[in-house]
Amino acid sequence: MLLYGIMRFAGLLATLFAASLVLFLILEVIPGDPAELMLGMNAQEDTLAALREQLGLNAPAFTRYIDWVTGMFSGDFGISYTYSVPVSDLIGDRVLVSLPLALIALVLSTVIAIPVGVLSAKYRGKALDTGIMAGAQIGIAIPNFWFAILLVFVFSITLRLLPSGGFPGWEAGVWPALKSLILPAVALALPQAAILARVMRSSLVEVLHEDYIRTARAKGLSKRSTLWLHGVRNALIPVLTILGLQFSFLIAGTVIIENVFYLPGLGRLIFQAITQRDLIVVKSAVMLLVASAVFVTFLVDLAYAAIDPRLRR
Amino acid sequence: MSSLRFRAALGGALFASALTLLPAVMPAYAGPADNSVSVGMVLEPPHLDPTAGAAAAIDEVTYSNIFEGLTKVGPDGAVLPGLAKAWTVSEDGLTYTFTLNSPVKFHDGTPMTAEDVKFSLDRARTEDSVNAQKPLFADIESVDVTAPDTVVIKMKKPVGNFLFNLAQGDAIIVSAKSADNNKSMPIGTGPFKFDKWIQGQEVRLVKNPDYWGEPVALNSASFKMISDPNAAFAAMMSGDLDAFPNFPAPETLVQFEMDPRFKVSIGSTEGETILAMNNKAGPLADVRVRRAISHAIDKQAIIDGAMFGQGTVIGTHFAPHHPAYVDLKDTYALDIEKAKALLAEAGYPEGFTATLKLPPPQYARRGGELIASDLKKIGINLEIIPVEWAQWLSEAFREKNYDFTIVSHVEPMDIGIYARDGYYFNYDSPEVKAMINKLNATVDTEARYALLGDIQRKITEDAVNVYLFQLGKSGVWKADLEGLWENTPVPANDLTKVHWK
Repeated sequence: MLLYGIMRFAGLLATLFAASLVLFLILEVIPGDPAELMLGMNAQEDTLAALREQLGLNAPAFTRYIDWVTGMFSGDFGISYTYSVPVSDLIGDRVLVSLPLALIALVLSTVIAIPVGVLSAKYRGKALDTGIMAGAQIGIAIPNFWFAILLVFVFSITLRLLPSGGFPGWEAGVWPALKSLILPAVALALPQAAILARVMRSSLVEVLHEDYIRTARAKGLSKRSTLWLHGVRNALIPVLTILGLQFSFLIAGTVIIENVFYLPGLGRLIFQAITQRDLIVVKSAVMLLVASAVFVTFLVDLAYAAIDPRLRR
Repeated sequence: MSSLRFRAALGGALFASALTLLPAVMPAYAGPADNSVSVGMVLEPPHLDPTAGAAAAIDEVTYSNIFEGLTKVGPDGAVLPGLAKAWTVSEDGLTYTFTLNSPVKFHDGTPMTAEDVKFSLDRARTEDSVNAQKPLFADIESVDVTAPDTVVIKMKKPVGNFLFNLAQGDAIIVSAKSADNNKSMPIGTGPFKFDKWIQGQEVRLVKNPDYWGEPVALNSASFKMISDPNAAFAAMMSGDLDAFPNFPAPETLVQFEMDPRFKVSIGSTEGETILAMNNKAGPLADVRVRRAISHAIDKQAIIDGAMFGQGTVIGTHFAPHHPAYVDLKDTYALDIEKAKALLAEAGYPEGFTATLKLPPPQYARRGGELIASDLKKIGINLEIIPVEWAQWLSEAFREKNYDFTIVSHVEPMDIGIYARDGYYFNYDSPEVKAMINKLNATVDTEARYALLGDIQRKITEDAVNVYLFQLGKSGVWKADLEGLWENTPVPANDLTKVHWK
């Protein structure tokens, strides 16, 4: 177990190093000068030079890479070119929106998907199963931004139950803040729930054909106990894999969803920072997302070991 | 076929009736009890210091609300007194004497005096200044304080437009004590104080109780950043926003017009939208080719097709609502045969191939496709290259690595760019340069207008660029909200006169 964990952790570090290098190089080659963008069309050469110097854009690439990486280790992400505030503050504020959003969506999609998938597997081949799977197919096909617009039309414009977007901030109270995350979370969760439900169903259907299920029934276990104790537990490994992958999808999805609902989250920050060539923000924020995705994969790997004792050796 | 069409029509009718029913079931919207207003904006300001950035969004939050200059621009574009209550100009146009309002206090309590005016203007024009509009101050010789409420500005040469220049956001008056922190904590003299900025979401302002001038009606205001057109539509329709002065979804305006809860305002801007041509790139160096291109483009079709009908056809680089505007839009009437003849005369009977670099705004991306199809008719094949702003600035604007591009020049009174050396469309005319120099030395209004007319005629004759249209501005706000600007003579959301009915 320990060796397994150490190996996984080493993999995590290697991935992070590779990602930081790729990210830095990509941002080096994209066209566009932050100083030019900040000063616009009437800027003069000397003004631009003054600003470039101020932003530290003149140092050689290697030095800037080392500065960036060592800075991150000490928690210093630099100062945003455009906002002129520490990047760590900027990211810190945004994480308080994106993380709850992604978690709510993740919980929501799991809570919907697992019972629905189990139900579907239990009644496989019956009308209920067909209906659920047809619904899931639609759920997968619907792009989340379109679904988001539909939700806004129904719940904000017509029924006026929930805000059409924006985020009042957690200091405005837990309920108002949560209220503004409901629609985005649903929009994010639905397509993921559809995928998860399908995986849950097919995995469980496979497990239910195994000999040990028949054995469990034969030794007198009720249908219900067999399904949940032996069936669902054994069917969870592929579901967990997908769940781990979905976390990355959810984070990617927040870029779009946060723009539709104009939420001040990490995804929108990255989107804006790219168009404004606030490269120092892009670098650090993307790195944070990479780190969280890699970390979740690491946790999933450890969870495999918890579910499947064979992996612990 | 017919049943298909029927179904489509039915669907449309159902959708439309659902929309018209909406207002009937919803309560009428009254102004909020706390006397506040929330205003939508498409782009977020990168920071809040108008003296350190070109982004219009900075001015759209701060101009006249947080910061004030010696003079200010009114809703009709006229120059009004600001922090200076009066001024005199010497006969030769070289000396300006400003008398300041007093007492005026900055938001942090420090008094605003003539010293601050000197500090602000000197700061904008020093060597290491990062002011985006440094040329505005280039002709200042000296700024001197002669009394606590009197400032004398001496010029190197007369600048006819100087009072207007001082009314720009780039020329606002700041305090030496707080100037360096204005990006994140703006301290000005205006009727609103900065309250809070939730990056990526909104900027909040509160009423300044110690304002020197006429107090504002609103207690607070917030500017919310919504870049997605669908989200902007939803935020207005659901009542989450009170106003969206520069509404990004013109295709939905009809729905707002039908709804008695809202008012739709169609105004003009200072944005001359042009098909810019690199006057030194291959065939485009020949004036006959540029004229041929001007004859081949259907401008009205671009306004209708790309801008939902919003915009005014222009024939030169000048705002049609300005008194000095000369109507030259018929100089190059749509005429494909003439265009072909001109191309043949220039030695390109078969046309040629060129690139068209398009920045992100709709006028460019959508307009570009229409222009490409127009020019195809005379044999010019355009390769469309979409670029981001950052890329556009470095490749097209700075390196001049382009043949055609579309851009809206939103700076007011910017015809002077035709006299600039190495400006991105590479136009080099000693005649225009002489006229601009003369214009700068002319103070008399009549004489200035005559000169401005001559310059407009000259650049149109030389077909430097294809002058497409004046960018329209559509705003949507709640019907009982009054006092917002209909036009944008300078980028601003001046809230000083805004109130609920």
